[in-house]
Amino acid sequence: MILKPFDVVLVFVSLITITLFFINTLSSDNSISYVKVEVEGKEYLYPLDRDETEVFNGSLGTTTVEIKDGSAAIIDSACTNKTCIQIGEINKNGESSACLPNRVLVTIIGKENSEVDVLAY
Amino acid sequence: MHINRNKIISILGALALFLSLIEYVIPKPIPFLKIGIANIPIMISLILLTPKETIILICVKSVGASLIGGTIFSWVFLYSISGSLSSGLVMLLLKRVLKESVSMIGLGVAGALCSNLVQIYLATILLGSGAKFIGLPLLISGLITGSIIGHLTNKFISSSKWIRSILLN
Repeated sequence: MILKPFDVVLVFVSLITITLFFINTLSSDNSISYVKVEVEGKEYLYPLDRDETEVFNGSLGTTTVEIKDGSAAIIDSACTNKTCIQIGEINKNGESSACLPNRVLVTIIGKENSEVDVLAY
Repeated sequence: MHINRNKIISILGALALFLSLIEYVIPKPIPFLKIGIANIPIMISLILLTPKETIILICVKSVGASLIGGTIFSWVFLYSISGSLSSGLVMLLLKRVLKESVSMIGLGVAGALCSNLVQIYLATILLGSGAKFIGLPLLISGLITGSIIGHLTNKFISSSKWIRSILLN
């Protein structure tokens, strides 16, 4: 017999750890998203997992974009109809919110659009 | 016959360096995917040497192998030494707790898992959370190579006259 009792135990523990790691990797798959804000032709990029509040100057006045708990929302804008605030929170890849009168467009983009190849050994 | 203990460290260290040189020659599909044959002497040291001497051997192996590979002043060395030390500590602890109810197969699997997890964790700190996507093939290959290396070490320990003569002393 080449295996001793605790060899089997350690192999099982190892298998369970690998499975947990796999589940963890899968579930965090789409969490690396970015918030792209376009204001009058200029683009700004913010990671979705960091809480931040940014103020942008559009053609009418200022638009405030809040990133909180993995969601982005326009919480204040200088427009008259306030449709952008009614859209509320966006958090999925491809979702967008906009304040058209102020020419501010907020989009969630996935990691495949922004991934940079940094490994070179 | 009295065997000088420092001599055992240097013999095992030389063996580890030789094996890590062979490791460099073997082509790898992914840069980090190693077989880990250089860890055979370290696993042998678990039964021949004291824990302190095993740690010294691990440092000798990591520094020596990085000198040969030219990676000693790069991040690769940091991955190498942290992985080796953590797996060494885990194997020492398991060997001390489980004694004769565990063979080198279990220790090799546990050591490979620990070394890989530490290196993946380091990579996520240094390169961002995307680095853990390379982790799964590493962990699975670690399970396979760990058990193969463990089996080889078992064979080596049970058939080596040199090891038997040291253990009898």
